[in-house]
Amino acid sequence: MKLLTGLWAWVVQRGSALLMISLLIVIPLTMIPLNINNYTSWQQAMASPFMVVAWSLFFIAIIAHAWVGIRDIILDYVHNLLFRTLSLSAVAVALTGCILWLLRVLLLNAGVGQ
Amino acid sequence: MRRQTPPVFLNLLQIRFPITAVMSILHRLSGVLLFLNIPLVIYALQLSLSGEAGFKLVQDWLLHSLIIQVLLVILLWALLHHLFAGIRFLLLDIDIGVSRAAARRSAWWVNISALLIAVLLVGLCQ
Repeated sequence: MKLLTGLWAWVVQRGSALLMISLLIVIPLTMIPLNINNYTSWQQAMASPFMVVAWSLFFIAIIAHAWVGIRDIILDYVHNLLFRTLSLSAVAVALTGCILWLLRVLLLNAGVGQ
Repeated sequence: MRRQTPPVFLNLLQIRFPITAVMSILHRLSGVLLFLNIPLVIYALQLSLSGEAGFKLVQDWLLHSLIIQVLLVILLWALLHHLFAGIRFLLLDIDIGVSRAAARRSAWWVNISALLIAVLLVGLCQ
């Protein structure tokens, strides 16, 4: 399986890093002026299409970046083929679950799919 | 026959650690810490968006729970260290700061500034 290995892993890691750095600047710059201090303002801010897209992209980048990093660590320290396959699979399942969960939270809050 | 693969030596108990290596291992450690806390962050986000009560609960945790605040400092440090070390690696990718002296200096900057800014930010929020 050559998916997300070698040069691909490098590109995904660097690309997601640059995306996260940009969003770490853009998201606070757009959220701080909203002066969020209660549930309603928080809920409404997070329901705007811009925030849904920005936060989704941020978490997709986190998940992709985490996959490459944890994969590297497993390849460094887990040499037994069975344990390596099991741990890589567990991490892949956990990360996929996390991103689906996050997207569900954001979309439900924005009223999509209701 | 020559070896086809480069020699690999990863025993953490026997490797000597110059400052660049300390920075590098902390980059890994902070990355693992951030990875492990992804579900917690999503859970807190979900709770805070679930209604007035959930929002209040998360707010109380952040403002009044000592355990959560300690975790927050650790995660803030992890984020800053990972971010700074990552930017340093990106600069190395494009050949900036590659000399040994420069690499050591920037490693010191990463280690110290991540710790300092994390403590300062939390101090300011009290």
